[in-house]
Amino acid sequence: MKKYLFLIILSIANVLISYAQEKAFLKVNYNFEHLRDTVSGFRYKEEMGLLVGKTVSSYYSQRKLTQDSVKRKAYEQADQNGGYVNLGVILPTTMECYFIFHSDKKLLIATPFQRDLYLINEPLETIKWSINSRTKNIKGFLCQQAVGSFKGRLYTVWFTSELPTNAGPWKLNGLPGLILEAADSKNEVSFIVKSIQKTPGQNIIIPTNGIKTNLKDFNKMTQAYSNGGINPNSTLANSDIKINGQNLSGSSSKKSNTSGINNPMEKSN
Amino acid sequence: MKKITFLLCTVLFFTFANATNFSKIEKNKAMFFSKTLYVTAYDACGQKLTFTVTCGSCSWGDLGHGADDFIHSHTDSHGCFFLSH
Repeated sequence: MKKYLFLIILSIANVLISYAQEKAFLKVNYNFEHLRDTVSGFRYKEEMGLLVGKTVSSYYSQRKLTQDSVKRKAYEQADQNGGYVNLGVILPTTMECYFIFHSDKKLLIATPFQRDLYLINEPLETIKWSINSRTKNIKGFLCQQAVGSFKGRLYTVWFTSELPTNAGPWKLNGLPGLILEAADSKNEVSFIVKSIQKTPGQNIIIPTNGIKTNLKDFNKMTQAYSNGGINPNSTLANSDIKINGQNLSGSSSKKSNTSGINNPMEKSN
Repeated sequence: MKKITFLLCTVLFFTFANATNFSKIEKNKAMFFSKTLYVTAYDACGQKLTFTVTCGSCSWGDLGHGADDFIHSHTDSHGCFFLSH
C-alpha cells in the first residue's frame, strides 16, 4: 500500500514539476538591432531581457513576454465577448529563449514550434576575447572594452566587472563581468543596455518538459516545413482546431517579404 | 498510514461536495462544447487580418494557441502578414 502511495505521489510530482528554477539577482534589458536585409536596408529592432542567476542566465524577448500576456488576457475574456478578440498590433518577436549554464559550459535554446516546445542542447562556444585598456562609463558602471570573433562577426563589447557574472546578451559570454554593450564591426548587429535592475525578485524558469533535440535536427525539420514537405496545419488538424475565413485588408507600407533574411546574425558555424 | 487515508478521504469528500454545485458543472460542460474564436489583428505594415478558429472540444486557451500559431506562420521577416507565398 505504501509503495502505491509513493508511486502516486511521485507521478503527481512528475506532472507538476515540468521546469527547474533559480533566483535571478540581476535583470538587464537591451535594445537589440539587426540589419536583416542588406538590399532593402531593413533593420529589425526589439527589446530583449536578460535574467542572471548564480549558475544560469536566460536571454529572452521582452516584447514577446508583454505581447503574450496581452494575448492571454484577450483569449481568457473571449467567452464573455462572444468569442470576439481584437489583439491589436502584433509585432514580430524572437521566439527563442537562450539559457546559458556558465559552470557547465552548456547552452539550452527553448523554442516553440507548431504547438510544441523544443529544447535544443548545444555545447557553449568559448569566445576568445582580447581585453584592452579602453574604458567608459555606462549607466553608472565603469566598463572595459573587449574584442572577439563569434559566428563570423567581429564584436566589440563593453563589460563591467562591477557586476560579477560571465553573462551577456544572446550567446555573448565569458568575460569577467556583465556585457552592457556589444556591436559587430559593421554595426549590423548591436545590443545596447536599456536598464539594469538588481535583485528583480524574479526566478529564471528553465523548461524541462519539451522535445529534446539538437540544432542540426531542428533546422532540418523547420526547413522541411518551409519547403512544404510537412503540412503546417497537420498539428492543428490533429488537435481538432480549424482555421477559416482568413481575410487580409489594408495597404501594406512595406513590401511583403517571405524570402527570409539575407544577412543572418550567425554567418558561420 | 491511517492519517494519509483520512487526508485522502477528506480531499475526495470536498472535491465531491464542490462538484454538487450544479451551476459549476454546467459551466464546465460548456467549456468542452464547440466554440469559435473570431480574431482581429493588425501588423507592423498597416494591414488588418481577420480569421476564425474553431474546434469541437477544446478550451479557449487551445483556440488561442491555434490563433497564435496561425499568426506566427503568416508573418514575414519584416513583421507583415501574408496569406499565401
